[in-house]
Amino acid sequence: MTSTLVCNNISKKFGKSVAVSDVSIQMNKGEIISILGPSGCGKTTLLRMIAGLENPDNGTISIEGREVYNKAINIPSEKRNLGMVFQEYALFPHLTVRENLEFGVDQKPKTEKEKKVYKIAELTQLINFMDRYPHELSGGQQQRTALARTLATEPDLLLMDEPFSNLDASLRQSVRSHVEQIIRDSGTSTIFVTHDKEEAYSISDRVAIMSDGLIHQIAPPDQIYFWPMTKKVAELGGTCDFISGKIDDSVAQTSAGPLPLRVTSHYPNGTDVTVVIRPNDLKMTPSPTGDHTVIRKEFRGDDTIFWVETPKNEILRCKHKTHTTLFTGLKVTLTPEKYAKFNTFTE
Amino acid sequence: MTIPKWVMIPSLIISLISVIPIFYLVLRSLEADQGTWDWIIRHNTLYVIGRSLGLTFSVTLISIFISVPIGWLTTSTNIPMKKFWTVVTVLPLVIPSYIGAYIFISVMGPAGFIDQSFSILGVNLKAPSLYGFWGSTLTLSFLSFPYMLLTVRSALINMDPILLDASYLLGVKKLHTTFKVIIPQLKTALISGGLLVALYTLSDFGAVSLLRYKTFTWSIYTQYEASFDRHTAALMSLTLFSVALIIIMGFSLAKSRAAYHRSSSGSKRPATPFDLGRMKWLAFLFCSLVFIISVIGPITVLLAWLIKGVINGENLDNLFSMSINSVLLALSTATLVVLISIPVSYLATRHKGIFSQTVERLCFTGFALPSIAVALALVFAGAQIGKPIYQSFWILLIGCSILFVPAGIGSIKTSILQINPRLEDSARTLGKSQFVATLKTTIPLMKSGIIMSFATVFLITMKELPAVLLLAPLDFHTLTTAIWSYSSEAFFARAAFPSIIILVISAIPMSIILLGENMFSGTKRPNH
Repeated sequence: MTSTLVCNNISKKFGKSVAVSDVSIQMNKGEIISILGPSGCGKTTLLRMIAGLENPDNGTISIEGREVYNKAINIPSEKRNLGMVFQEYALFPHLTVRENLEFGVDQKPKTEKEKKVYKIAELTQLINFMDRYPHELSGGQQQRTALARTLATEPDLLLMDEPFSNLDASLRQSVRSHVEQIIRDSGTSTIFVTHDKEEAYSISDRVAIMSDGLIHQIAPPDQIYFWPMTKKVAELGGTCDFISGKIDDSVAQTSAGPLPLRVTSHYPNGTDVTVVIRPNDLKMTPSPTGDHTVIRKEFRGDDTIFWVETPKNEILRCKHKTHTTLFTGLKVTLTPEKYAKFNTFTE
Repeated sequence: MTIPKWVMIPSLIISLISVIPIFYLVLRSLEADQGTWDWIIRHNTLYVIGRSLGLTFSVTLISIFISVPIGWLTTSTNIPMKKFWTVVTVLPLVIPSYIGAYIFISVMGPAGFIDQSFSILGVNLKAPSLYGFWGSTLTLSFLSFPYMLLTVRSALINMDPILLDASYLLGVKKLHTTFKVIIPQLKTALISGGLLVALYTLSDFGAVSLLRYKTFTWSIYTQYEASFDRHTAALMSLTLFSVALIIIMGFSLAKSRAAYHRSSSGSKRPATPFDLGRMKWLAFLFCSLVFIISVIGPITVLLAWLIKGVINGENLDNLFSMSINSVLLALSTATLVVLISIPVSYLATRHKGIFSQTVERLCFTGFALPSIAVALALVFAGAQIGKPIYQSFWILLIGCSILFVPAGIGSIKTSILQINPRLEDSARTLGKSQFVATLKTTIPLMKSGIIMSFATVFLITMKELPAVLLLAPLDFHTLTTAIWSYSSEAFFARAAFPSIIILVISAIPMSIILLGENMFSGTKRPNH
């Protein structure tokens, strides 16, 4: 089976600054991949190069087994048969929803075209808004119009650049699951670009962690979270703190006590390591004889985050499910949660 | 991304054409011999430059004193009939300088209204002679101040009212705030408006020639007419060009250090108008006075001459064909300029770089080169190339286009800047080629800019005098040339007819420009 997308060693510089450096991706049909990274990490540039809106300095790109970019070939955007949904949607303000949806559909005769547009409008629940102009739509409707306009062309590959960042927080979650449903139903291979971990994890089959122009790891969401290959991936893949430790058989001895290793016998005993602590990993119990001190507390509604200082002055974040009467200055003990395992790195 | 061919090729051609005037002026100047140089020195060229600069300075100064108060009154205060003043104070833009001068002479000059009235009344008095410097200063100031008024007004409208609040909260009194906060912020507007007024005055030919004030433009014309001496005229044109360049550089040096823009984010809150109190009737009087001098007065005089002409049974045979010629020239120039401005503006906004900067600068030749110099250079070029260009409509069209491309680029560029480039990217990923993507997304959204650009160029081409005078084929008469020749021979009543027609026709593009801001800048919903 041919891959939907293969990128080999793509690089791009703008002047002296490196935007994308030696990136390779291979993607299967119908798959949804998120590229997750902080702003300025090169993820949008990567997407624009796949779309043909930007030319790489090096590397090759092929879509559905057809080379669209290499040293000799550069197929223009319009002939790559892919769709792109932009962060700001880029709906044509002078055209109605219907005209926007028809824009990229060249099908003849006209009835075929109308049928197709109708079908996609039905899928995206836009039937009642077809004669409106973009500025007369809500944020979620605009988002769906942008998606529908692209899906109407039946692209081999759909690219979405921060598609939910212009929506209100309250709307984002429902639009997100709706969009995922539409994409899954249409079976379109999709690349999302996002800086939102939750977004990336919840809708994708695989997540690519990107920073400083490099892709550090591509893997399913739970693997990224629980089995990060580097410290960078651990950091970008979820909230965490790092403390120092020493390997001692199946645990790492740290200032927060002995912590069970996810991978044992990877390093010899006595090796100095950095241990990754997620906010859910340690349980906090108030105790007058506790070694650790609560130094800051942040109430967030659904949960409360505590900053805890260990005897070695290392600071960890611990999450409590409910609002508690715990206060700053309190002495506590820390114990690993029941099934918690810890990742370690040696740099 | 690479520059598309439909942008690249027209841009290159236009740049080359824009260079022609300077190229020919330099070429002819290089041929100048010792005699020419002697002539230039003997005829006190420096003195003529001094006269031009003196006029430029005084007109610019008076324009500031007219436009700053009016700009402030019509944007930031509770002056009665605010909307009315906003519209009528820019109307003088429709009146060409030679019509202004003609009206001025026909009232104040020998055998003008005042002298005639005196003689009817049997009073042995003459009107004070206001030919020359003072006549030119007054005429040009009251015609050109709207250029500055427009920039001042837009600066005041775009000013962040939060700054005023900040000033009040710091305990500064209202009127004091006006002087300490508002006026300093007008610096940029005054510089760009001042540059427009200065260049308008420096390159004016119509008014100074009728008012017999010997500036550079008029000297160039008389030199060219009297002897067909190419070298002297070319050399003088280049000198005038250098003076204009020095003025432009001076203004842009002053401007580069001033950077004022809105400091707060979020949507802008409208400012509360300044309460003029009892002073508002004084303000009202001031606006009325300017309106009467610059619009009502001239139109009344024109109508009076018109009636007189009708009574005397003036011969008006050519009027219709002259009107057709004027409109034809204005329509074709506006069309050509819009067609040129689209690729150049697109290049300048979407493909920033050395190439696009060079093209844009070259296209601005017409901004710095006075029209008499461009026309003269094209006469040389035409004479050298010969048929089919020489003494044809085409060379007139090229000349006007070189002159007015900068005006055309202005509003088109602004409209492209407001269009998100993602729209084109999006059209491309939907399977459209670069050209089709632009044609289907950016071009329709530029509609308002294109209309504004067309109207502006149409208006200024209708008014253009020197280019038509020098470049038009022998049998091609327009309203402007007719007005100029009638009034220079003191056929005031006869000149009234073409003048009225010019004003009436110009009212159409002018109202498009005035309405434009309201019509196009609001909601983007197009009418289908």
